[in-house]
Amino acid sequence: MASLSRRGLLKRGLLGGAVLALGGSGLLATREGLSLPLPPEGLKVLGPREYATLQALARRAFPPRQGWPDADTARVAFTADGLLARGDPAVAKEVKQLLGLFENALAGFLVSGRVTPFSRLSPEAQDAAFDEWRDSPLVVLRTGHHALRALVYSAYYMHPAASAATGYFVPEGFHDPNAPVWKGDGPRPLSSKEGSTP
Amino acid sequence: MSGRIFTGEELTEDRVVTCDVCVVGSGAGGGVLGHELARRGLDVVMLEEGGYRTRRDFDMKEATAYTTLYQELANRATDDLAISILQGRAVGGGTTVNWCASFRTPPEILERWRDVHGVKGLDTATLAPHWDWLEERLNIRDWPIERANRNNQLLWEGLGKLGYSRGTVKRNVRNCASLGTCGMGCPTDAKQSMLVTLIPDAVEQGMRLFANVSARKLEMEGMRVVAVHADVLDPRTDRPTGRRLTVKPKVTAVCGGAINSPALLLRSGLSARGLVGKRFFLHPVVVSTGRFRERVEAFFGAPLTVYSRQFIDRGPGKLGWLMEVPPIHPVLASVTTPGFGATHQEMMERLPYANAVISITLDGVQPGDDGGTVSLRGEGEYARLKVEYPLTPFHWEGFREALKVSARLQFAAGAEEVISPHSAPVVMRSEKDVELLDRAPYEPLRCRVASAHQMGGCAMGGSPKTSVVDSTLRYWDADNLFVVDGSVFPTALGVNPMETILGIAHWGSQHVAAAVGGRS
Repeated sequence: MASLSRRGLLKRGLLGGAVLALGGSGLLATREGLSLPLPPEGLKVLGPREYATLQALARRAFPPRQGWPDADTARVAFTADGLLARGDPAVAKEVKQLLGLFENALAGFLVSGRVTPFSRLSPEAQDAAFDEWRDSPLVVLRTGHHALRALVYSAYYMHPAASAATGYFVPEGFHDPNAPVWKGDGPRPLSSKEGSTP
Repeated sequence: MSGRIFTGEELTEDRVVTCDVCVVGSGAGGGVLGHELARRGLDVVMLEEGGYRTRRDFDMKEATAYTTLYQELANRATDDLAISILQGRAVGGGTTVNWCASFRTPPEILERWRDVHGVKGLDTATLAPHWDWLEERLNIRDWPIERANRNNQLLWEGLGKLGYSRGTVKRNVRNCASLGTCGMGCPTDAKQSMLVTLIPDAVEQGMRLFANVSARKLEMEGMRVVAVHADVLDPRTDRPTGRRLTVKPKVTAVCGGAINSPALLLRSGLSARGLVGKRFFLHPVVVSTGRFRERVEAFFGAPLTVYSRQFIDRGPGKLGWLMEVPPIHPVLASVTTPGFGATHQEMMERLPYANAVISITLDGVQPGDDGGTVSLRGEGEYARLKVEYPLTPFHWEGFREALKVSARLQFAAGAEEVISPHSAPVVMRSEKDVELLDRAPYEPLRCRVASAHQMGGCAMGGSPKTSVVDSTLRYWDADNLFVVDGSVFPTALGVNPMETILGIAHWGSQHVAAAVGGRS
């Protein structure tokens, strides 16, 4: 990576864009990645390969740690799938493309010379591959790194056990899930008029 | 007239409504404007694309809040993702989820708007009675340093030790329990947001509010808006239900904020000679994270109660900044904290010991700093918006200097370690390490930048050649179209923008009312 010229990287980056646009072709592009059992609830946005790629990345983000849920316990890729389903479908499509490019062995070869899909790399090689995107001279790869990183971190820390492991807890005795909702009918509840602390 | 709040699940048929004024958006601009118009006896219809969420929904969990109360599930960003953008999307808009910081507009900013941008009749004296009224109604009061949480106290102490100016921040709260979850909606209704104050006041006075209704296009006939066409959204999925709401108003006020307002105008073919979406400002922020031996617990307590404008004016050609501290909750912290894997986990494990200083830079006041752009990715009602904000050496110099000041402050306050927002972070263990920041990379996505304040895009000014709206907030090229929100700012402010938007909307309501037919 370090020996590559900026011009070469740019060219490889553009070729990576071509891989993205064409969906890849040939032996490297079609190399099989990790296969994971799909969640029983099913997936709304991600395909099986994208799901496995994202979960593989999450396993590197959240290695086993005492007192913390691991990536599989927190069901990071499944939660991310739900987040993508609630957002703009066009964004979900872009993230799917991004995951495809990130996993793709042909794209990996063009960017860094690796010939194995991301999800089949050793843990150390996965970390290196992700760091290559973070440190790339190409803004588009850094953008991709940021997008995937934000997705796995958001999904993980939305899990109650992960949030609790950081020391944050929801203060008790303040949220009332049965609080009245005023829509203009009848008298307005006191709290919405004057504010009150239980 | 009978006021009512309607939500998406109630709107099961296509519907056409008429009114005096259609207010598009329910945040600081729309909320005040709707109230002031309804108070005058006008028939007001307000549209809000976000949901009607109340304290029943505010469970203080980030997973709930970010997916229901923020634009793009709190993932809004510039096109290259180099600047993440936090922006509210619910009834009450940003006032439902902001951190309650209330500042009147700095006089020098209003003077600049007058002297440089040609804005007429909008000065401190003019706005003062409007702010007086708002501060009384919204209970905007000082939050004394004795009530500050440890996160804010550390900033206060650091500022004091280095001899920098410092102050406490006024907040719009009543009986605040200091839970620290202002950004997730207030579960006790203590925050005096539009959601619990002026919007229900206006509904009591006859305003009809349609939540889960997304304005897609303004229909023009010559110089007049004749209809606002909107999609009804399913509150559960946030997707269009296929039902349409069409509003036929005498006057339309666009109050969707500094990104959605220009986007709506552009979708409607209103570009103001290419000026719509330009002069867009973000108060770009860099975050310096300090680690302390003591527990800071920045996730609890009133989130933002101390500030310093020591470096707001660094002289010509230099980017200045405002300093504050944010609340630190796990999801947002995880995304902004640098590192990956075990390194990142270690930092997250130390979250209760973290303090963060944010440097909120003042954009748009230096020559040549025109900020960014809001545009569309295509044409038509459903074109996606695109936010671009070029970060130049001018910005990076300011960010670097701001990070150095923040680190020194944090060490002065007792930090054991300070971590920069670089993707490969600079880790400083004492004040002498601060110079390491000079050698760090300052480029998009190598140094993380964020924004919680969006301004401009429909700039107010003295000429249609240079601005989108005139000094009465009226769109230059239409008789019955106004823009009333932070998008009309010709520059950023250098303070949190809520009270400026509130004040301008309160003041500007007279012009909107007058356009209906002589009422003011």
